Amino acid sequence: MPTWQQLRDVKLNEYTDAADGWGKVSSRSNTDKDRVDNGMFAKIHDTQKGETATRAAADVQQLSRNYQYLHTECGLIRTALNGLASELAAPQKKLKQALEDAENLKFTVKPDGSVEYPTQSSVLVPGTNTAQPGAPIPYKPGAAEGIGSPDANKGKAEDIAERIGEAVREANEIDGRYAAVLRKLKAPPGLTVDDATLVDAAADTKAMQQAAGKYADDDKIPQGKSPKENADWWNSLTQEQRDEYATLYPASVGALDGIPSAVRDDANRMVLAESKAQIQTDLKAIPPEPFPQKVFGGPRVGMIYSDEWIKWNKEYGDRKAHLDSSLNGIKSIEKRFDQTGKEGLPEAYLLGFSAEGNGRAIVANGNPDTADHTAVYVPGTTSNLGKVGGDIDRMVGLWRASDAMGGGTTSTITWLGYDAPQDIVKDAPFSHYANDGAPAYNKFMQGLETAQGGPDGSHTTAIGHSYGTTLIGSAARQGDLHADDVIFAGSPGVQVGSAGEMDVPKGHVWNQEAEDDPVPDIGRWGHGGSQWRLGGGVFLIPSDEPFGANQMATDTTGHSDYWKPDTESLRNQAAVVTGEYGQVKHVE
Amino acid sequence: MALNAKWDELFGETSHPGQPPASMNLAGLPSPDGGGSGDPNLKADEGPWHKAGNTAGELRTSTTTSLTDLDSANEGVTGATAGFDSSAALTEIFGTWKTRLTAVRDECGRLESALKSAGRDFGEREADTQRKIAAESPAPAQKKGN
Repeated sequence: MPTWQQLRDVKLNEYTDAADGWGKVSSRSNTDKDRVDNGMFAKIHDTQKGETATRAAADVQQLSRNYQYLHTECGLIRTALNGLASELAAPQKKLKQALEDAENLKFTVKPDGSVEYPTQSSVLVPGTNTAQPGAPIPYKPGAAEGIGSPDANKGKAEDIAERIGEAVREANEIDGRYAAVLRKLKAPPGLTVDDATLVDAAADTKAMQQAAGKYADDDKIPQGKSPKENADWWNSLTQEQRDEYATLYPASVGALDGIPSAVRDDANRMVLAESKAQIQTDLKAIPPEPFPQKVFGGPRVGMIYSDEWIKWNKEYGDRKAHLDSSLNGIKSIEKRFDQTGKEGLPEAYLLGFSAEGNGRAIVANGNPDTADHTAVYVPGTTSNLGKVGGDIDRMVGLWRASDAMGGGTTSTITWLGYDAPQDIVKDAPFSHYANDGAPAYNKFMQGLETAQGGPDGSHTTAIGHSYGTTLIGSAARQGDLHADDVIFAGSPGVQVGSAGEMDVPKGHVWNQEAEDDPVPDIGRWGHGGSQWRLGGGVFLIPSDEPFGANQMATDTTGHSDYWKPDTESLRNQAAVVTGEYGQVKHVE
Repeated sequence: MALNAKWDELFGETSHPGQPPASMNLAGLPSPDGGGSGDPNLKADEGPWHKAGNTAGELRTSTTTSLTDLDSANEGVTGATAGFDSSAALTEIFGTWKTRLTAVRDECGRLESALKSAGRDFGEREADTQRKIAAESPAPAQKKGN
């Protein structure tokens, strides 16, 4: 507990200097993590088979987790020290002002914080008296009592003593708050970074958000603003402030459209790692499902659910199903991380992640900020975090097909950024899933454009499958798509009735309907658009001639094979994505 | 030594931080039979395991810098901030992070040797050795330094 002398003497720049050091370690660890992932794991992964090679890969991944952990924790320590110095500056200033006032009045501040002053009285003998802090109200120091008081110095001295006392109390509160949160940031020995470590790290982050909230306020992170405004805010920060926000509020920073993809990726990967740890911990806390589910209930009713199982299911069934699904999705995303380097596959960028509700996952193959071509794919009905693996694979396939075109660098992105309808019969006929999700898509697309340096930064294609095409249509209808080309596959209708309404130049809307895909003709009654002109109509879908899309050939059948590797269906998409329009095979 | 046994030595002991990494000695000493070279500092070829080993070496250096940064960052803090409990807290956690970073640094060193050694076992060869083999073929590779 500091005294007023210690508060006067504390060199706050020592804390900020120390913060710089911890910050350096944090930033370097972040870079080092990428070096482990790309310079070690990606190199050795899959080059050898066998238990021992697997073990080597596991060690390398553990090293990666260590750097990620160091990035977060040392970053939090950095923020604690900066916050401490920043907050202590105010009471220190208050104290110094009080001391200066005392000196000017020739008062003496005594070691215990009381103030000795020369008495100023016509009746009393000249001498000194001492003022203590905390003069009782209504004898407010320097005011009530001072006025009309026989001794004017008494009030002034009490005021100074009170200010000194206040400054020390404030400093104490600040010091105590930061000391408590710093003590939480101990490193366990060894190299293990397991679920417990990461659950702790998430708790540390929360605690630091509370403790340092005055210093690094999350209210300052733009919410509901345009990607351009987000980028302006980000650019207005110093590098240190950016690092602080990214480690203190990774979920908010990871979701911020318009800021660099590499920043979002780092932040979201931490959120992913901590979410996974929490989910696995929660799953372990759920008692095992009673087995068997069903028991013989007598000759009349046959097999029935056991009471034990019903009770378990009521209490844990939904929750376990959700946790299982989230964990499955997280593992699919991690699987994609691990594929980097395999047959030339570029780095993955996690541009959005959440395990809440149906979940969110936005996964890029290759950095979109620097790619010549970008494709953003919206999956359709029944997509959710648990099943995102298949949608990630589709964009891996499209990346390979696009890369094979040889027309520059490509980034292909799976965008699960909306709550898709989960049931083909009950949900998919409704428009609100698309209408609710479309603004988020527009914002994401605009954010990419901003991070890419403007509309000419990258040639961008919006790709939708099934209900995803409806969302893209809704996005064009409600706002601006920020795309150069649009590809629809298996579209049940896109809310608008013509290619001209899709926010791209004439001739840049492409459609695929495979043989035996039932969705387009069922969907048109719910999602088709209309054209009120001669030759137009109602319930129009992109497969209809009046809609005005280019009809691309397919050699796949059914609703779900548009991204099957080594097919014409996929190659045609890749041709559009890379701007090799001459190579597109049209429907004869 | 059988490959699997050697692998155990290379990658099987990570959970015992107190134990000296066996592979460092393995990779650092010439094999008793003189076959192959154990010098991990030989110019590596383009094999992925060697490259990964090189990166581990770079990371060891990088983490050493982090340790230095941490030391200089915390130098003088306690003296200049007497009376503040936060400084005491910082001193308490500082030691734990130094220990952690040291463990990470040592792990990089262990992995550097282990990955390069693994690369050799997987048939990756140092450029020097390859040149020797090419020059002296079909005679067996000359022992180095013997």
